[in-house]
Amino acid sequence: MSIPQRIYVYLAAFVSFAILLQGAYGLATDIARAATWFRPSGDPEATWIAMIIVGLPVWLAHELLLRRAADRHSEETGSVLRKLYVHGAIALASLYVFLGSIWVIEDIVGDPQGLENVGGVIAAAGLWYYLWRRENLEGQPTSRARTVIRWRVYGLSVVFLTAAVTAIYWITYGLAYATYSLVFDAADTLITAEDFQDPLRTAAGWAIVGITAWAIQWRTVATTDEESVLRQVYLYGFAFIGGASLALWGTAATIYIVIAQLVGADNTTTAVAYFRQFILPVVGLLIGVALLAYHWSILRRDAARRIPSPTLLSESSAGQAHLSITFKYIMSAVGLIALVPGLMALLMALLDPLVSDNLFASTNEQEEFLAVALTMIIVGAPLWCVFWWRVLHTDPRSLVRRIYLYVALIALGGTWLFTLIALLAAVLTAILGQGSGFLDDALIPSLSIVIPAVAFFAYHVTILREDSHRTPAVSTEGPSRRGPNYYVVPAPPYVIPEKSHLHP
Amino acid sequence: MFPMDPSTRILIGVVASVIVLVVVAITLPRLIDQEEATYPPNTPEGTVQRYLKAVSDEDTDTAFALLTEENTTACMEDELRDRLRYSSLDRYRVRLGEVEETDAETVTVTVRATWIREPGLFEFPDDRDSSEHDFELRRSVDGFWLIAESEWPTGLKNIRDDYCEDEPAP
Repeated sequence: MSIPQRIYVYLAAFVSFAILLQGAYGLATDIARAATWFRPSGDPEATWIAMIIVGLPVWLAHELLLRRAADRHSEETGSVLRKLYVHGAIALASLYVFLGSIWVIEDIVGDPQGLENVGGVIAAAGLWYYLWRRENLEGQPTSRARTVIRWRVYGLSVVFLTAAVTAIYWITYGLAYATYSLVFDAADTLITAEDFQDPLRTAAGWAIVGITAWAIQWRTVATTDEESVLRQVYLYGFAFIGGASLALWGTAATIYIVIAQLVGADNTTTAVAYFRQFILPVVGLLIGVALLAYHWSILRRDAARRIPSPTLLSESSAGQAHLSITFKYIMSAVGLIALVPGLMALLMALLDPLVSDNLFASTNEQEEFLAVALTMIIVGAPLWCVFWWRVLHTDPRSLVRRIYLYVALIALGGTWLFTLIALLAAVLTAILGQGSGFLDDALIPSLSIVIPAVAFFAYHVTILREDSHRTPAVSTEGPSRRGPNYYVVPAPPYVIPEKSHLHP
Repeated sequence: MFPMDPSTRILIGVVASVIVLVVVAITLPRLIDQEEATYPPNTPEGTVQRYLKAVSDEDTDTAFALLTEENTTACMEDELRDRLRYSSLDRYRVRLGEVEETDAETVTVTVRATWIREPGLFEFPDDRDSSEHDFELRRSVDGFWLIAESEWPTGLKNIRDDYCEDEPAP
């Protein structure tokens, strides 16, 4: 088959499979509902039957065509197009099973009469099993085929883990909030809400199915896939940065609540209401730390298992080291993004009393502003210092370092440049007599912005200049920093003379 | 015992913790939906509670019976009946705040109403969804407390001043 023909057949097979899957899920659900003795129901919906009547023969025809092609030509078995079709269909069926199972759990804990989704899950699982079995028989003969599988595995892992963490977050918060209210809120209840349980039931379904599906994915495939760069992208890009973001947010919000109380920006009227504010950030912090801790243990285990090659650094090891360094630069950037605006805001809050016209509408607004500024500094400064210190002496020529430095310079330089233009415009407006009051309004904010921006801009220029004078350290970012360094010896650019040439 | 590396043990711990958490969340419904207190009907708190329940149940007759005379005109009843249709309290948890006695015949009851959001992930109950409301009650001739003023949940003063101002009290 030509490439356009193959694309057409695979696309048609995938689309007809999707139609068949939806029809089968809907019909099986309707049949299960009708068969349930609790709740006799009407006829199955005609749309599902129509979808099966159209989808099944079209899919079967294309599937058989593709199976024959794969049986006759071994290279077809490992082709990217085939793997995209098979794993796309497996991923789709997995999502149907996943969502259907959530609804089943929701029904079990909330409405035992509504277990009709069991039928849909069985139908989707049947189609999934057929594809999975077929895929296992065919195997994964090429590296590109394995890459497609990894996309499915890590893509679904992201979905499952996000669902589980979100639900666990909700359940933990809901329980902590309710327990706190029960213990400390002495007020008597006059009337209660009807359905506070519903979100917990929904979250229970998401949590159980999400964590189980993720654990199965992780244990069966990902845990033994240390060499995969995609796995490292998942670990650093999703699990690590996601966990770190959640933990950082929890820390920042906790610190803000404390500082708001210290500077008088807190608006709660009772101690019970004040301490209740801590529940959400503390839950976020705990779950973020748990995510980080688990994935950190995975990285440590990977590092312990990895045996360095005595001859050369493998491509995946270099890729993993690169990701580790990139993660540190990202965290450093997050710290800088919190620290510099925090310093600007703090200066603004401190300098404000020096001018006659206050920038803030009320004292409370000023106190809130001060609390935000202090929180950003307390969170941003250690983060930036810790991660920047770790990357400060790494390879000065690395692309990620250059990107980090130039982005920082553009952001900081642009900030002080445009602020200076605004300040100059205000000064000139006053000198030329075109208005009054502009200088008072612009002076304090502009100075507050320009001073930290110029200071950090100058620092990053210095780093860039030092980098240009430094000799790049060989493999300082490499994975085996504690052991001996290994060097890749390049192929000689000259021709090695043969023995006959040496002895004419 | 099967040999397990630390990450496997952590994974098993995570899954087990989640299951325990879910079981706790499902099997302790009483923790979430607290029991309603029961107040005697001849107390200000009891009147407010019965009024809120009547509003929640769209029981106009009971709600109307708990109002003072100036709130019981025909116009007020019609308007109140309309408003009860749209002021469902199904998603509210209302707690008793302060009960302040202005004089022997007048009492102000403050309640704290928390709106429980529609079911959904990341729809957290929050103090920002809470608000305080006052009910002004007067003692009737037979010793019961009746509601004279309340802005929430039906807006009695608003009905009386804006919709039924021309109709004299019986």
